[in-house]
Amino acid sequence: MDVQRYISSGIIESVVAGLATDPEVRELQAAVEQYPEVKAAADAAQQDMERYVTMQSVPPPVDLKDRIYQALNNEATPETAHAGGAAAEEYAAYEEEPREPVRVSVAWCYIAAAVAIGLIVSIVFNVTYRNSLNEWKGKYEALVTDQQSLTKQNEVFQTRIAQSEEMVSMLSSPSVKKVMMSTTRRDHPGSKAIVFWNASSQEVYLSVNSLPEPAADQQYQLWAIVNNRPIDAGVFDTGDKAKGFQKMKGIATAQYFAVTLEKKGGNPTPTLTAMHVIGKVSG
Amino acid sequence: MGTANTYTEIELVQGLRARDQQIFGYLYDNYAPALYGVVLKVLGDETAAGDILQEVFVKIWRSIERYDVEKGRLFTWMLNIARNTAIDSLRSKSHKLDQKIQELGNDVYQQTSQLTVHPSFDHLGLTKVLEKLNKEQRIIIDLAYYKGCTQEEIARVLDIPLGTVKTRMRNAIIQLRNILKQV
Repeated sequence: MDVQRYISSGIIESVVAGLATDPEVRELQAAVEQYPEVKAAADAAQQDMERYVTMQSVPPPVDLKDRIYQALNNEATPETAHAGGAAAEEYAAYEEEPREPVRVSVAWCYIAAAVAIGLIVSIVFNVTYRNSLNEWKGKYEALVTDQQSLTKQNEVFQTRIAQSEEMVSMLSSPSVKKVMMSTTRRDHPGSKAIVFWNASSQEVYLSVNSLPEPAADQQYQLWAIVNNRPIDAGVFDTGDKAKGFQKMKGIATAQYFAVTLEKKGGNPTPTLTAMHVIGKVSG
Repeated sequence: MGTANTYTEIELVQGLRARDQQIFGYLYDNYAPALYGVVLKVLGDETAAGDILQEVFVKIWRSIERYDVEKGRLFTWMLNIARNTAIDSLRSKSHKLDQKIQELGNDVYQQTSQLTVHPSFDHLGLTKVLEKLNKEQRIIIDLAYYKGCTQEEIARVLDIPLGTVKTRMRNAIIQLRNILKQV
């Protein structure tokens, strides 16, 4: 507990001034027992109130002392015991109204004992049940978590399998043409990429074997070339982000496929000086 | 207060538990005016206040076994009995909030009234305290202590947010403490 914050919350003063609710009073009592600083603050506030109240003293009626002595003497004899007036709704802590002993029949004692035993048994069961409930709850939650992660993995595999099957069926289709694109640059003699193009379905897949890593603000772009006119087939990433085959934009006709390095997001027309690979579509 | 002997709170508690009538007499002489001041201020009626004070001393006498020194000072314990008994009696007469405020208002604005500062006790310095404690601080303490108002009632009367009642109370009592140091 933040003792200073608790002290400055005003709860102590509210209890001392009789303003606090019962839970607040109990809370303060617990804090007083635990924290010497809280006890010191509570004592100080009590003394402030005592002084303030003492200042407003008024001498009681002269005969009152005798009346009270008389009342106390009557107290001593049980027959005339003072009823205690209105049931004092004092704070839990300061509730000092003694309870009158009540005679109860023996039968009720047995019933009360039976109820008490029943209650204890019930509490024991509750505690045991609660403990095992918590244990099972923990196990159940662990299983749910496992199950969720397995489902996710499963989804990932399903997607990969579906993609692979699609690739296999595409590659085995007689209408798919494989276009090897080779380097056009002396500084990167190893550059190489392959286009798989299904002319009838117009699907284009790209497999990058080797291309130099582009700058952060650049991206490679694939073009189909028909009668020297380039058609955008989309930009693509390289490296780890683009393992395997990437699906590109659909192309209806092509004599060549080529890859140029463009600004990120691509360009409407290719920068021919930045061409990296090119390949001719076979007959 | 004319008693030659003085007793500590612990001696008083032991004496009361031993049913020592001399100690009880000392207790009455020394604390009855303060307790009567509380009861009278809560009830505003001298006849009723006398009856309640009697009830309070009977309760102190009967309940002293249950006083726990760990939970607070004896004087505070007795004040709580006086205050709670008086407020319970007030509630049984179903005082309305408006009435509480009006009574208190009379006190606050007529600071020379008999009820507020009894002439024979003004040497204790109440007038000085009341001069320095501002009206709102006094009202919040008195509404809570003497009228048994709830936090909600005080928020309504002073037209402040409920959440600030406790900190206002703290500020009022800190201010009271500072003034008491100078008296």
